[in-house]
Amino acid sequence: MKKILAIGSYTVKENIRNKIFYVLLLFAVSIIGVNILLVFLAGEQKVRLLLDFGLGAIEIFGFLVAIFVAVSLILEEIESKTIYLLLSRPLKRTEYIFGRYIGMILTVIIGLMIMVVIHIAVLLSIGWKIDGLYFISVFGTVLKIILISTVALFFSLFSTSAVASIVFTVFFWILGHFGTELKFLSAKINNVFLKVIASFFFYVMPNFQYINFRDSAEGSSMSLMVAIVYTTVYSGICLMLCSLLFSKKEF
Amino acid sequence: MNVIEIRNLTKIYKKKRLIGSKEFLALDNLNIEIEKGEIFGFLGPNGSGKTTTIKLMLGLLFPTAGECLIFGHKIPSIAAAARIGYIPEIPYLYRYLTPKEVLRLYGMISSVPKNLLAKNIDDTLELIKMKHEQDTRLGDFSKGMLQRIGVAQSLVHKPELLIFDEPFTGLDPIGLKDMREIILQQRKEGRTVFFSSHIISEAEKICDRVAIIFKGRLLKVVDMDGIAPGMLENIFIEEIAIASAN
Repeated sequence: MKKILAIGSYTVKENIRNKIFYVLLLFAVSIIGVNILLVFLAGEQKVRLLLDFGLGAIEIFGFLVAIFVAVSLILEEIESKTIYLLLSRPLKRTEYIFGRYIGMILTVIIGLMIMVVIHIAVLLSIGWKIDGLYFISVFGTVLKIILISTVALFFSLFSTSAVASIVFTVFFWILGHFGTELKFLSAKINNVFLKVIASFFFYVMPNFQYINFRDSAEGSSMSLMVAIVYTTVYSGICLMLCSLLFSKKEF
Repeated sequence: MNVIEIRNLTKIYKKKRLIGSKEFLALDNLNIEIEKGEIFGFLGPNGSGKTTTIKLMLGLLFPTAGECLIFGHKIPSIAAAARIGYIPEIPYLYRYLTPKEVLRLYGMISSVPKNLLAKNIDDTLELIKMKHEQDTRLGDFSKGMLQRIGVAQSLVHKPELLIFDEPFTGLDPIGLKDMREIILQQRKEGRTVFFSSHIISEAEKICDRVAIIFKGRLLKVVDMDGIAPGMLENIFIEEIAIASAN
């Protein structure tokens, strides 16, 4: 466990010193910019708009941070060959993967939390009253980003190109929001081949509809427990596959 | 007692293509035994299989056939890795970390007890004369300084076996002298040193034995006590010429 934590901690340091959080500056600028642009709106309307825009932006910027951190996490270490000095030590490859994963997730969560603090500060400045649903929605975003980070990590080990990994991850991110549509499609299609493909994607893709509290925060009947279990199980399977792929990799 | 036993070690690289795959024999049935306290030079021209052998010894590659035992453990082995210090040809280090942070990371991963870690880091930084730069990021260092940090990371856990990949490549005369002294000092402290090189003159100055490898095949093992000074280069060239002609 000590070794996993040591790797996790240098991963966080690496990401912070690599200036990955510069993307958060963009977030801050866009939130404050939108606030200024909405000067013609007042009260409830402005709060509502900034609330929705901010939550959407947190998810998009969180996704950007996640995808770049996850894809470069191991690929970069293989390219720079720094991995030689780690794997030639008494370190199991599984410990390395778990350490890097923990560091990546911590980095992504730190990034998300910074954005949430900026967002809340701007909302409070225009008269927003703190609402518990906001935090449920943010929690859903955190789960979504954790899940897609794990998928991105898997693709980065599966392929040797960062671009291919990013493309696959974006593809999964988009299709992951259309779980119900995929199921509907597979039920309607008569062609067996296409039916199998649609069903395959339905079962393999992450289904973000279990986690998407942002779009259904008000009066939501969605279960937090289902979202947590789904994220844990899906990420766990991805992580096991990562570990398996990595254990067979040669350097 | 043998620290390293390499038995029939063979490595074939398979490059996958769209249709089929292309094979390349990098190491062919290598057999070597290295005793405790030896300085063993692994000599060969570029592309002869030296780095492949080292990667197989470190568990970074998996053998196609044969095996490598270090301290009696079949590689890959966590128990053996804890007793090995490795320096790659180019110091592949984290440029955003400081020497102290790098040594702490590698020390922790090498299971150095917490109460010894700080002392080991201080001793190692002292040895490479970099104590005054312990909090500067590696990104700001020159090549020579990085090379010294590379040495430090291999020593921080006080290993019994040192594996150096081309330790003399790219060093200036003072760097060469420092590296020689470090290697000789390690033997004095009872450690075994295995290094690869294509710089024959340096190997001749410090080795107890050398192996000559060419195109993945072991050509000869030379006991340095058994040859006249300055003869190693002739033996090396002769062996390579015979192997090339065959």
